[in-house]
Amino acid sequence: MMASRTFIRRSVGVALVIVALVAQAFAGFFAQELIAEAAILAIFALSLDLLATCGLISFGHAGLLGVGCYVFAGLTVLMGGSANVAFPIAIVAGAVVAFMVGLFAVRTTGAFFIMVTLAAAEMLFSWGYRSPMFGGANGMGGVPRLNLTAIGIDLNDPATFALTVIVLCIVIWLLLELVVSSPFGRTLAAIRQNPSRVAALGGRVFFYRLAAFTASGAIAALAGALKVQHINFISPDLVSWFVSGDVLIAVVIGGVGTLVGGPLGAALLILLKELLSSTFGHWYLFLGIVFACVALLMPKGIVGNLLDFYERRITRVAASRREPTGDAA
Amino acid sequence: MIALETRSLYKSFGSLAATRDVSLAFEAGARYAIIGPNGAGKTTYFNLLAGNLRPDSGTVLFAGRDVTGLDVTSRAKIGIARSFQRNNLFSDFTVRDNLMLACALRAGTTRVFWRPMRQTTSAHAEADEVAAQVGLTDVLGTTVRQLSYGSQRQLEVALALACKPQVLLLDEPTSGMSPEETARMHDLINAIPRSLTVIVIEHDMDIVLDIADRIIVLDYGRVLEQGTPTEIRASKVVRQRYLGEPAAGVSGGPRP
Amino acid sequence: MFLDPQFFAEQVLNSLQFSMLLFLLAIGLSVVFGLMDYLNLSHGTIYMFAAYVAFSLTHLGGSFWIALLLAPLAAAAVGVLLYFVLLKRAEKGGHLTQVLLTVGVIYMGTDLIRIAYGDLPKGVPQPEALNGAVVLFGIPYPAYRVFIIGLGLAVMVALYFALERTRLGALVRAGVDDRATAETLGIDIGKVFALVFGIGTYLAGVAGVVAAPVFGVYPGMDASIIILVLIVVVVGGLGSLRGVIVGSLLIGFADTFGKILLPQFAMMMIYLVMALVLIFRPSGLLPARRFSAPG
Repeated sequence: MMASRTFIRRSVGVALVIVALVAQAFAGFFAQELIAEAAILAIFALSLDLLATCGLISFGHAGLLGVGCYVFAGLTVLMGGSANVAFPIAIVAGAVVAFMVGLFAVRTTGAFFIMVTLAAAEMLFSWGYRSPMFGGANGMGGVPRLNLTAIGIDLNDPATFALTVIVLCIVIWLLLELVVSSPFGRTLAAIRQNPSRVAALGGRVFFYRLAAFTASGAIAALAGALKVQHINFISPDLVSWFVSGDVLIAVVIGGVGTLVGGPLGAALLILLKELLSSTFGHWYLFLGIVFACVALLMPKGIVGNLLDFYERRITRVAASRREPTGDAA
Repeated sequence: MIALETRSLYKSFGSLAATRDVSLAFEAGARYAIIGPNGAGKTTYFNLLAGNLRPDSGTVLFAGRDVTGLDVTSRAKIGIARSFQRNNLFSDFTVRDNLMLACALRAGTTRVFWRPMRQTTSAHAEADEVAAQVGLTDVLGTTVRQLSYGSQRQLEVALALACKPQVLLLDEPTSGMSPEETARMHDLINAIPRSLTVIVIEHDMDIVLDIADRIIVLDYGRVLEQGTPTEIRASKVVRQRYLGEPAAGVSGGPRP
Repeated sequence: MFLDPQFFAEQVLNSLQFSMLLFLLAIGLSVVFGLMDYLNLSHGTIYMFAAYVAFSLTHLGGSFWIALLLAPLAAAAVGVLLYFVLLKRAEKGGHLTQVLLTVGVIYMGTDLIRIAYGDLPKGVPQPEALNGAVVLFGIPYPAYRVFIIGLGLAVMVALYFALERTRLGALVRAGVDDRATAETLGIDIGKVFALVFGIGTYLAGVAGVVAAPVFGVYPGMDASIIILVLIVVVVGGLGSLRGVIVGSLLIGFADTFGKILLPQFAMMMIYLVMALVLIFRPSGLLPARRFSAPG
C-alpha cells in the first residue's frame, strides 16, 4: 500500500514536471517570469515540506530564505564577489544558520516551534529593515545572476532562467524523494507519527530533527539566492512573515508531507494570485475565500486528499473480501 | 548474573509517592512478573527502569553499570527495551515498516539518506524474522491503523523485541485482549528465548503464575512481597491484600 | 538617560499602557489556544473590525463612550458568528488547517474593510473628558492613556474573579487543564468554548476601540499586532490568565524600552525576549496545563 501511495505521489510529480516544461516551452516573456517565480516558491515549499516530514511546522521559513537572499546579495553586490562563488556559500550559510537556530528551536514542537521559528525570522527581518548596508526598508538593487556562459547558458534571458530554475527544482525534488524513502527519511516520518516511540527504540529524535532542519535551511537558502537573482533586488519584504505564510499556505494547499504537494500548491498559488489580481480590484478577498474553501473542503491538501480518496477505495475493496474483526477494544 | 538492578529507588509526583524505596535485582534470563492493584506504581517503576522517568533518588544498574543518568534512548541502545500499556505504534506505517524501522534504529542504519529503505536488506530480513516470531507474518503489508486491536498489541511487543534487547519490559501486554488473543500472547511470551530477561506487568493471574519465575507484588509504591509463584500464592499478606479480592484483575478484561 | 526619573517614569507608563492593550487582545487568544488548541490568527481581524465600528459611530456623531459600549458587542457578535459559520469547522483539523483558514479570514476581512472604508487611515477622537493630563509620579501624563491602564487593570481583576470564583471560570480552567476528563465529567466544552470565544472577541473589540485614538484605524492594523499578541500568548504560556498578564507586561516593556535602548533593533528586543523565554521555559512562563503527570 505504501508503494502505491508513493506511486501516486510521484505520478503527480511527473505530471507537474511535464506541465511546467510544456508551459515553459510555450510561454511568453511575462509568463516566463511567473514560471520562474512559481518554481522558486516550489523549491522553497519543498524545503518546508522536508521539515514537515518530521512533524515540525515552521512559521519563520522566510528567515532561512532570507539568509540565502542576504548572503548572496552581500557577497555579490556589496563585496563584488562572483555570483558563482556566492551561490554555494549562500546555501552553506543557510545550513549553518538553520543548524544554530535548530539547536534551540527543535527542542520545542507544535505551536511553540511555530513561534520560535517566527521569532528567529522576524529578528532577521527587523535587522534587514534597519540595515543601511542593504538599503534598509527600501531595499537594494543590482543583484547579479549566476554566470553560466562558460557552458553556453545565459541566465539573463528570462526563458533560460525559468528553465534553469525548473530543472533545479526537479533535481531537488528527486533528491528529496530519495531522502524520504531512505532509512533516514522513514525515521523522520516515524518521528512525525510518534516521537516518543522512536526515542524508546533508541532513535535520537533531537538529532534527526536538527538534521532535517539543517537540510531544510540549505534548500530554503538556495531558494532565497535564486529569488534575489530573479528579481535582481533585495528587500526586507522577502523575509517578512507574509512570505513564511505564503510558502506554508502553498504546502497546505498541496498537501503537507506529500513532497509534490508543495510545488503543486506553489504553482497554483502564483497562478491564482496572478489571475485574481488581474481580474479583480480587491483580489485578496477572493484569495481569502479560496483559502477558506481549501481549509474546509480539502484540509489535507490536494495531494493528501487524493491519497486518502484512493486509500478509502482500497480499504472498501479489501473490507468486502475480509471478515469483519469483532473486538476493537 | 544480575541483568538489571534498582537500589532504593524513589519517585514522587507532587505529594503522591509513586515509587518508594524499591530495591530489586533481576537475574539474567529469568522471567519476572510485577503485580499489584491499580495505582501501585507499577508503570512508574517501569518508566524508571526504561529511562522515561528519572528517579528522585536511588540508582538503576544495568549489568552492574550505573545507568540512572541515561535517558530512554540511551538505555534502548544498550539493551533495555520496553513495550507500552497503550498501543504506541507508527499508525501510518505498515507492520513491516514499523518493524523495519525498529530494526534499522537498532542497527544504527537510520542515518543513511542516500538509498531507499527497502534496499536495506538486513532490516528487511530481521523484520520478517520478528514478525514470524510473534505471528504477524500474514499482516506484514497491512497499515497499522487497519490492524485489529489484538494484532496491534502483538506489534507493540514485536517492536520491543526488534530492539534485540537483553532486558525486555512488557507493560500489560494482554490488556484489552480477548481470551484467544490473550492465549496467543501467553504463548508468545513463553516462546521468548531465555537469553532475554523478561519483566512483565500483568493483571491476568493465570499468565503470571505460569510464566513467571518470580513475582513481585507492589503496593503503594513499595515492594509488598516477592518470591516464586508458589511462595506468592502462599503468602498471607498477598492473599489478604491482593489475591484475596476476586475483583482484583483475575480476568484479562480492559481496565477503566 | 535612565538617571532621569521623570523620563523613566514616563516610559514605564507608556509600557504599561501598551501592555494593557496587548493583554486585552491576548487573553481571548490564549484561552482559545489553551482550551481548544486552536491557532486563531484572525483574532486581530475582530480588533480591526471593532476599531472601524468605533470610527463609524464617532463619525456619525456618537460619543467615544457609546462606541466603547457598542463596538465590542458588535465585535463579539461577529466573532461568535465567524466561529459558528467558519472557524468551528477546522476545530479538529490541526494548526495548519487553522492557519490557512484564519489567514483566509484575515485576507477577506482586510479587503472588506478596504471596500467599505478605503485604504486611508482614519482617526477616532479620544473622549473630551480625557483630553487633559494627569500628574502621576510627579510627571504630567495624558489622561486618556491613564484611562487605558486603568481599564486594563480593571479587566484583569474582573477576569481574575470570573475565572477563580465563578462556575464558568471553573469550567474553563477544567477544560484547559484536561479537556478529556472535563468532558467525561459531563461538561459541554463546545458551549464553554463558544462563550469563551464571545468574551475573548468582546475584549479584542474593547482593545480595538481604545487603541483607535492612539494608533489610528487602518486596513492591516490587525496583521501588524497579531504577531505581537501571539508572542505574548506563547511567552506567558497557553491558557492562563497570569501567563497572559506576565507575557503582556514583559512584551509591552520590552517593546517600549527596546525602542529607547536599541532604536535600530526595537523589534529584535521582543523576539530576543521570546527566544530566551522559550529556550529556558519551552512551554512559556506560566502555562495553565501541567504536562508531567504520574504514569
